[in-house]
Amino acid sequence: MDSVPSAVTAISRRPDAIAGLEPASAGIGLRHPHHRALLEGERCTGWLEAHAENYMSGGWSRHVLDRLRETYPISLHGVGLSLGGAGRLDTDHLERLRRLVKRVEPALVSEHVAWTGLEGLYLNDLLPLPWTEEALANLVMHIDQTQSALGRPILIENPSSYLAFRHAEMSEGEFLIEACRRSGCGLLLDVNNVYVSARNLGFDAAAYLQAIPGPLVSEIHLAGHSRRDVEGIELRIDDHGSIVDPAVWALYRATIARIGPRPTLIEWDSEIPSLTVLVEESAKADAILSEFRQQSSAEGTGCHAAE
Amino acid sequence: MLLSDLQHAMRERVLDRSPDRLDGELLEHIDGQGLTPSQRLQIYRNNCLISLTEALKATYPVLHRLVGDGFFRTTAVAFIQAHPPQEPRLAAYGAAFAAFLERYPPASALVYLPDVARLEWALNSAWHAPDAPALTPAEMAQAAETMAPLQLHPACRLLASPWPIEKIWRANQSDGDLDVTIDLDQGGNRLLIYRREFAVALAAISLGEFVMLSRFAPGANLESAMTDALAADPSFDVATALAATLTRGCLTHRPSEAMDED
Repeated sequence: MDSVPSAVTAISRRPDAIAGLEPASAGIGLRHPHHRALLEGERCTGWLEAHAENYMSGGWSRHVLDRLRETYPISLHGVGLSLGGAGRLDTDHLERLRRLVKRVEPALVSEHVAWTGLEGLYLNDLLPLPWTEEALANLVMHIDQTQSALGRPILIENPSSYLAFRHAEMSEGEFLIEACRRSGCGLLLDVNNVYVSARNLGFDAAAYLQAIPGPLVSEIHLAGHSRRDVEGIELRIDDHGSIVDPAVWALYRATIARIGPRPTLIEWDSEIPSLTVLVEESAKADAILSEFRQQSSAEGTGCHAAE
Repeated sequence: MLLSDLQHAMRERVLDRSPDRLDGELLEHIDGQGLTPSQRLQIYRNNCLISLTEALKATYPVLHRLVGDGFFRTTAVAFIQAHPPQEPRLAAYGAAFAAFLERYPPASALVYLPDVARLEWALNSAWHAPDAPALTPAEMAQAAETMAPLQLHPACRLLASPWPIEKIWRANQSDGDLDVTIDLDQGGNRLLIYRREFAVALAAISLGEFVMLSRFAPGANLESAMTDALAADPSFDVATALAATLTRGCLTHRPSEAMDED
């Protein structure tokens, strides 16, 4: 994963269409328990990211997103398109996403490098892909189809993994970079996922992050994870149920130092705390972003000085 | 191993169903790194079955309370294995739970359970239903003149049961009275589930009202719906029923297919 395909180094700048949250600030994931507090309170964070699938119906959820988009920039984050699925994309679902994107006009649209089902079944989990040319070509075809349907580029998120396939033909980093290069999509770099996968599969998280070209990264995710002992081996479980691990903060800081500020999301999906706790966590990311924003403007070289 | 073969075999593992014919090949392709391939697959199986069980628990809180956590989880996993979700909106998952319970032997003694499930599904689907403008009094007066067809609002549901499911449901709310004794032979319910100002409500309605509103589900004009209601229920009070229908926002002009647009 240390070798970056040469074509990628030719990408000079993120396309303006996906640099929708400038200057880069921290945001939080929009979750049901916080709907009323966000609707009734003052603006408390830079932006909100909504799981697309939770806002595709009428009634309250539609009302909430329609109101909040008047105050906050919105990012739509899909969890169910199954871009890595071996079958055809669910075109009914793609159409629902297209309609939602048209209505909400989000700053960013993202999905996962994973498969979530097959042939009309949906398994509600982000399942792992083998890093093969076959899986890459299939993923790129589905990203192309999605970007054509939406009429805009999307971001793809690196997975958190609990297993590796023996028949991999490239590293995860190479796979992601090549998917971005072929499809023109951007990368949603989940630093917690990199750390979780690195611990579970025994690779070097810092080296993985170093090998990602900064211009590909349009958004960063941070979240907490837990530890589970399986037969004496400690696995890290990406449950989004706690504050961000110090090791993940350190990797995040090093990444921002290298590539410059990027819109950064705090995700929390289990044992969801009060809005205050989430906002405090996003303020930590904002502090790091503003530190390097000042630095890069002082140097006058933008965010690519380190590359 | 072909990607589609790998995903077929893994799908059966994740749902914890009978091993796929390529299960052995799948295991050979997984690098255990100190664990067995099965142990690593087990993490995905847990994520899938537990998250879907939680989704069902969120949609069916009264069922969960009625049967207890252990029985609910076992039942939910059996349901998930037989009827995995067919699309990624979790709010749309679980419509078949009532029909599943009818044929689920461990629950056969709880005869009212499938209808309680139908009620909870109606409440869930009404909450998530598409928006549509409710008919105003002026529009109703006009529709009475022009004989224009009217539709049941997409957030309205009608449910009839031979069991007292409204009492069972109310007694099992978080603020309900768990000590109440409910006589299963006291007779059933005709229920209207509707949505006003983002809240879903439940009302017991008369036979006449039930027949009238049922006629609007496929689309009907006011006169024919009221004629059918009076034929079924001679004591049907037309004026009161129409006033309640307007207050509850149960009717709309637009056909329901178009509701999900824009």
